[in-house]
Amino acid sequence: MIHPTFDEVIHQSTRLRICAAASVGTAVEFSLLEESLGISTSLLSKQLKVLVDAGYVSLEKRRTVGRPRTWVALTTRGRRAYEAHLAALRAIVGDDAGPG
Amino acid sequence: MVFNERSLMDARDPRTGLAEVDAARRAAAAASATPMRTTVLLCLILGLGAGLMAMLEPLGVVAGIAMLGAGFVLDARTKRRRGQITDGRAVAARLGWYAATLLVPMFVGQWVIRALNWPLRGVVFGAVMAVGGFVYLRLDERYQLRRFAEGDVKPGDVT
Repeated sequence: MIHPTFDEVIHQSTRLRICAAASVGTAVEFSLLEESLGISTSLLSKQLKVLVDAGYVSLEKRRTVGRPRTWVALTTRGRRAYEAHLAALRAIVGDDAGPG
Repeated sequence: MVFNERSLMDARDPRTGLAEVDAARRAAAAASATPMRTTVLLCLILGLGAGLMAMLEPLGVVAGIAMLGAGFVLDARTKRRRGQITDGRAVAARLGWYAATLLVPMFVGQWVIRALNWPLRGVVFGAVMAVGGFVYLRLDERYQLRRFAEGDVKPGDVT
C-alpha cells in the first residue's frame, strides 16, 4: 500500500522526469537519460546530484566489456518516494487508480 | 496525504506533472529498446552456437560454447537498461512464449533432426534455435517495454 506523499525534491520538473525514466528498470544508462529526456549533460548531472544527496538515486560507473558506462538507479528509498509522490499527484487530480 | 504549505504554493499543475512522468517513461522505454539488427545478430550467433553444439563433437561443443559467450558479451555491451519485470503475469507470459517459440519447435524438431545426417542436423537445429530465439526475444521485449512505458509495474516487481 503506497501512502500518497508530496515530495518537493522529486516534484521539480527535471527531477520528476529523471525518476520516471529511471523507473523503467533497476538501472538505466546515463546517456539514455540524456537522450530520452532531451537535456544537457550538465543539467542532468546537476539534478542527479540533488537526487543522490537526497538518497533517492545511486550512480555506478562500470566498465562493461570495453567502454566505461555510468548507470543510474533509483534506490529503494527513492523508488518509494517517487511512487508516493505519483500517488499524491493522482490523488490531487482525483485519479487514484492510475498506473504506477 | 502529506503536504506542506510551500509545496501547495509552488506546485505545478499536478496534471502537468503526471503528463511529464508519462512522456518520460515512454521516451526512456523507447530509447532502451534493443535495435532489431542487434537482436538479429544475437540470434544468428546463438543459432550458430546451438548448431555447432548439435554436432556433438568436442570441437563443435567448444566452438558452440564460445559462440554463446560471444552472444552474452554482445548482449551486455548493447544493453542500456537493466532489470526485468518478474511478477506473476510476466513470468506466465514468458513461459508461454518460451514453450511456443523454443520448447515445442525443439521437441517436434527432434523427429526431423533424427532423420538428418551431419551437417544438415546442425544447420536445422541452429536455424530452429535462431528463429525461435528471435521471436521469443522480440515478444518478451515488446511486452516488457509496453508495461514499463505504461507504468504498469509495482515497486518490487522489477528485479
